[in-house]
Amino acid sequence: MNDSNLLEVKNLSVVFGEINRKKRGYKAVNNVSFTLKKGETLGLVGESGCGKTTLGRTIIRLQKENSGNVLLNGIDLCSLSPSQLRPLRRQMQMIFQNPYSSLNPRMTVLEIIAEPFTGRYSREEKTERVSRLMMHCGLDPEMMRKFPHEFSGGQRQRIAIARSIAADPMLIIADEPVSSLDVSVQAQILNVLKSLKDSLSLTMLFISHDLSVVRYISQRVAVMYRGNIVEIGKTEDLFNNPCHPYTKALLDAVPVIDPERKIYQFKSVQSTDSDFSENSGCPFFNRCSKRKDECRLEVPKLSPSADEEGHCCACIDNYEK
Amino acid sequence: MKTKSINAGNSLWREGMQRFLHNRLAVSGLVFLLFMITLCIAAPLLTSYSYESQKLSSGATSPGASHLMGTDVLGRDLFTRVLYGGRVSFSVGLCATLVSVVIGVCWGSVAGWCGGKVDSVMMRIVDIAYAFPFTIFVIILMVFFQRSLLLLFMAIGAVEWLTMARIVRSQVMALRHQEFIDAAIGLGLSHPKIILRHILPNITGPVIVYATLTIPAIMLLEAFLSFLGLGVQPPASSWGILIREGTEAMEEYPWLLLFPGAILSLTLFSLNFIGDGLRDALDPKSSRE
Amino acid sequence: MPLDIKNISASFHLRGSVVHAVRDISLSISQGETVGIVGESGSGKTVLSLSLLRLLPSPPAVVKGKALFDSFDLVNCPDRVIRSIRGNRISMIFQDPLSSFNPYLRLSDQLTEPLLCHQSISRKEALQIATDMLSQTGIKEPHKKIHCFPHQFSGGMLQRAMIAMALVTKPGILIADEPTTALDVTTQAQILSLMKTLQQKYSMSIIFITHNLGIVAGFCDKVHVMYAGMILESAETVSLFKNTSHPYTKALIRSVPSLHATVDKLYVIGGPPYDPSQPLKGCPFAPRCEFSVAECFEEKMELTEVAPNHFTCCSRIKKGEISL
Repeated sequence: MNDSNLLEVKNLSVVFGEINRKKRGYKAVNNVSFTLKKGETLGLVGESGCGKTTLGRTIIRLQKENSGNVLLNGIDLCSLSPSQLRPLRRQMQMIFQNPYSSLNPRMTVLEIIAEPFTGRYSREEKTERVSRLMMHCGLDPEMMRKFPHEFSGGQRQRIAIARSIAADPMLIIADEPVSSLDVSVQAQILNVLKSLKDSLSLTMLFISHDLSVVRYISQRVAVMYRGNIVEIGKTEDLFNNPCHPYTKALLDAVPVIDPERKIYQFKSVQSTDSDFSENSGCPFFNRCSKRKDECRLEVPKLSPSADEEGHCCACIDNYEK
Repeated sequence: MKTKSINAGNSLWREGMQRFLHNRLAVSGLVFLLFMITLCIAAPLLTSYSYESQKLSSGATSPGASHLMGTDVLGRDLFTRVLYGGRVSFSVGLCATLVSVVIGVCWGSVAGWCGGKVDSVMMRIVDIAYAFPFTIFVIILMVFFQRSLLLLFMAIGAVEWLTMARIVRSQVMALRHQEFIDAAIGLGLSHPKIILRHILPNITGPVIVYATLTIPAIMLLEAFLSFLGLGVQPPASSWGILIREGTEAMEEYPWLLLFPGAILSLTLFSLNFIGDGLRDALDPKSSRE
Repeated sequence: MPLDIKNISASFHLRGSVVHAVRDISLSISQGETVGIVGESGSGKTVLSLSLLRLLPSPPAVVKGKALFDSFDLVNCPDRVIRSIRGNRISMIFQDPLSSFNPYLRLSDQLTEPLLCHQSISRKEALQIATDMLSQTGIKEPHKKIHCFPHQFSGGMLQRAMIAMALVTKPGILIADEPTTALDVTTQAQILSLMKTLQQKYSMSIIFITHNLGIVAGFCDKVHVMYAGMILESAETVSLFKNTSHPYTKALIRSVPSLHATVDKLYVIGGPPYDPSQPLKGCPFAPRCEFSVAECFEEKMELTEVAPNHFTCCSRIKKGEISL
């Protein structure tokens, strides 16, 4: 069972701003655990500030964790020294949100995409490989000597995708790769990602705030709120039978193309003015319509939901079912 | 499979240069600067006089056919002295700027990249050096070591690198958080490689601009030092010395001040116009985003 | 009709080239109506809204046409007239609330500024009105919060403050340019709900500019779909989605991933994106349209009614040659 787990995250916590034990910092990622099987795509969904980007960056070791482990193919990345980590970094690559700042403006597309394998191949082989990668991502290889600023946002994102697969990684973490793109371009990039995923059997962690996009591309989905995973399960299960009140609120809030369903009738989530409270209980307490006194005691743990296999929810209400 | 693509890209440099060439003030500055430098290099071809040969009998004569800019009190041809003086001023300007760029870029990029304690220590050293009185420092150098042009370059360069270091540090700190740097880290590149391949090419814009604006400051500094008697020693000439001598004799022989003063001012203007033009041309905000 | 836009064109004259951002647009907005303008980036929707209040930088931008608002022509009236209308009778809110506020001034200064500028009332009265408006936007303890600085607010709260600032003079028309794009989904829902409530209270018209068809479906009464600076389709919301009459609108709707169904592959609009510096001949969407024929590249673009209050400029739809 465990052999097919490419990625295992165990009790990962990242705290910002903790100076000493007296001053409690801000928990960007709070005791998060999940696994990713080989070839699977896990969607990580949440609103801004929920810690999903921090979680992604911590897994890929761009951010230091405060406690917990990240196991890639059984190797604990958190216990490695920087020099031990360096050769392993190629096995996990990230696609960033902003196509304008994720490419070095002074390098040609050829240099950018070939960077993962510089020094290993001759010039002809390098050009050949880069051409193949560009075509794979829907780019014209004739453009390889152009510079990033000569491309549109969607094309730049394709270049970023080509760069990430050039390193031949096992795991790809896509951090909001389509959020800054137009609807029609978004569709193109998502299709590219999906076809690459299928043809290269990539394992992917897809981070986004857009539920519809996550639904399209992921097999499993995890919902994050203020540093905690509040619900996780198979895509169909989670979207059709959301368990956690926050998941339900999120799904209700998404504007869908259905003129009969007027968005301005939605009122079930309260104002977020007093969001940053210091209580030690459920992070969703202040906004939850179902809250009880017990919810304040401790952060609810993810427990299996009665109905579906693999569908877990971190809500006291769920325990009682 | 074609290895050479037909479509070579238009790099940001090329776009910047195209923008620069549209800036009339900057281009005229560049033309004047190149003209002056050519004149100074070609000095032996343009004048038959030596910069130190005196003709005490004639003394100071006003500009005329045989002496384009006249002569000074010792009968030396002013035009020749301006040209040879230009050689000194330009070489001091360029060399000291080079020294300050090299030290400043190294210092600033290490401080900006490392951050934390290393950055604090390195920048505190810069702060302390800033507070150090420059003139006294140069006087001490000149007293303890032989007065030489080389020493002058190094002394000036040793002071000017401070601002360059600060500029480079802030640029590096801003770049460090860009996502393409994260991508480079994610590829497993070592820190020196990242600084060389990714950081330095992206800070050359501000560095060039600041360097171009440092040259006039250094030339002025050299002129000031020579004016005080600390810099270049007579009979060698530099524009600073010429201006000093001109100031001493300006009531009787105004051309002795006018010519070197005008030439120095015009050169400083052109360097400033070029620097401004470069800044506008290479400003990343103007490039297509 | 509070606002009647007739044949507005906006172009930018840059070094050597002319970019036509808005081409000959006409539409009208009634009292209390919510009109949505939908388009992707480059469609000209923001340029259109800025040209209504003459906010485009005038040397490169040239605006032609008329925008009739209460006997004034916004495009051609004297400067002092447009200044008296801006922020007073027509207000505008933008996408990024943080950059819309001056970080050095307190909210009290910024919220009272429109009142003090356009009405002759005392500072005390202005502060009272501003605080009242701030509380109406759902901010708790407004009399305390109004003296805070913008950076002390979260994105959602700042957007509410921006709405308060726009509505403090009770304008007849509010132009909202992608006001919820930078916000979370739940905050977005609250802001939209708030805007609806205030609109009904003050019988205001809203011009809502967005690229999100889902918002338009739930929020707007009428929709205009823009592409390449032109309106391709105009209709009442329900009619637009039920009887889509332009291939571009249909393609947009199909490109959006669905929340409630799993699909194998998303529909992608093919062809090269629109280049605004090239001269336009015929339908701008023709190069990318799956239904286009030779005539589409030659035809004259005209919005014609194909159903009650439903206009399209697709000649093939008009002739009944295709149906979507």
